[in-house]
Amino acid sequence: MFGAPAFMVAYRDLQRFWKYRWWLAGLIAMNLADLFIFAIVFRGIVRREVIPDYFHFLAPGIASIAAFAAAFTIGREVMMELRRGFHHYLLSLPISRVDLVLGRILGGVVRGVIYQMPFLALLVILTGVVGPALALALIVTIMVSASMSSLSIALSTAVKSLEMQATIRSITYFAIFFLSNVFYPENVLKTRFPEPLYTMIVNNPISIATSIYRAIFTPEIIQDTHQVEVLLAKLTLWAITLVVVGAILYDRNLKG
Amino acid sequence: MIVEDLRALALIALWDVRKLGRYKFFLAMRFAWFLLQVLVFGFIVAYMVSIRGPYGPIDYYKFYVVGAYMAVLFSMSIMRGHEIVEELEDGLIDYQLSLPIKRRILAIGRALGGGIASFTYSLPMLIVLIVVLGVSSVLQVALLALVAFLFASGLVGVAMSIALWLRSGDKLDILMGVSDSLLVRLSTIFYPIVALIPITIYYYLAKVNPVSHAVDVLRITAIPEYAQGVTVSDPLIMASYIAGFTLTSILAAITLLERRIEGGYGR
Repeated sequence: MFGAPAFMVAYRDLQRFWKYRWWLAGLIAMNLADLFIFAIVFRGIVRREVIPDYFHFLAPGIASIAAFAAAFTIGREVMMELRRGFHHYLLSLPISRVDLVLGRILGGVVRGVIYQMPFLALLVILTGVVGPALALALIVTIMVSASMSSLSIALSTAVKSLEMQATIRSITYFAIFFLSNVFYPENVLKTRFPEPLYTMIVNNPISIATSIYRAIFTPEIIQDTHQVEVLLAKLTLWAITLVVVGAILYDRNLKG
Repeated sequence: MIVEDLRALALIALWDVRKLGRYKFFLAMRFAWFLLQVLVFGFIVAYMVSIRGPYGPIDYYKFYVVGAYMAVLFSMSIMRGHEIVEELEDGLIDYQLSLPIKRRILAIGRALGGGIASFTYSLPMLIVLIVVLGVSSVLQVALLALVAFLFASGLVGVAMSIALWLRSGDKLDILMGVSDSLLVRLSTIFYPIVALIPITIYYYLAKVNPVSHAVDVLRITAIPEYAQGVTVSDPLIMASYIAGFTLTSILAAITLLERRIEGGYGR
């Protein structure tokens, strides 16, 4: 059946994800500490006219970051496999190249979705939002995970040096993390950065996903002018572009 | 005898420092992280935040730059724990124990060497801090360096002690990951102690957290005009706290190296 082997590959990647349980524990601690310590303290010092409630402002952003960080882990594994020649074993399996490539991207998506679920559940508990909006949140999670999984794979196959790859991956991770609207509202970004940089920041996939989560869960905190439909279209475009680029680059490296 | 011990101490300490070249990519990552914190996060958040100390409003950007430096120094020093576990796995610690060097000297040398190495790795960030904050007095710069080095040595002592206690990379990963998240956020790295007063439990945890004392000593040295009245304690008490913390953690590392090193590595 077409596509079934891709799910097997993704399932393998999910199983391998639990091998990093210690790293995961650290990541969960960091995400929760950001929300329940950092955001709560910041709520008291951030000017009310800028953000009325920083805790509820940051919570959707933490959900975005959670999906991003988990999906991004797939790139490290791809990088190590290519380095150790493990991809030769993967290529010897009775599955098509397309299934293998899509399976790896799907593996990152599954990691992002599963890791993020408790954070989405937390958002539901905090805001009381239920109903069809949750389906939209899930679609956003899948798309942002697909974008970040593909980006991470693309970066891991872009250069040969392992150290250089790790550096590029980390710098990209930090850049997306800080140059997004997760921690700060867009109207503040607009006043602090020149227009081109502001446009880049608000249109990165994490910013787009965060804006949609905010529109779903905490619309009363910050009134952004973006329409959800437009944001969704942008995120879809990002997801398609990055999946295609990631797949092409990974496939090229499998051949090499 | 003392001369021989001192020579051995210097050799052990230098051994840690010489590994600098191995970490150039790691350093590049940390430097990028620091620059993003200072040029992006701090720059934007300073606009959003409004805090008043007893002597007037606090310049949050300057306040934050010192915090970002401390966060980097903290993670670089704590990383030595992972290194110790790797060395246990590779049998390098066994090799060092076989050298004609007293265990006490070995432990002190590793803690001081780790402290010097962590401090050296953080130097580019310290230079950025000095430039951004406009610290011009030689005495201030020397004090900043001394406090950073002392605290880094203390943290390396803690990391060594935990690594030698656990002797497991997996357990160390979770403990370090969790403690990194909690110790940094439950300190005055990101916010002054006055901001924590409304949340009693956070306030008292930050008060006893050595990270708060270290970062506030750096602040009172680098930006006394903004730090006065918003530090966790009196400058002399904070300095004593850091000295005590460093001494205690190195003593703990010595004790563990002397008593718990046998038995090999366990996952």
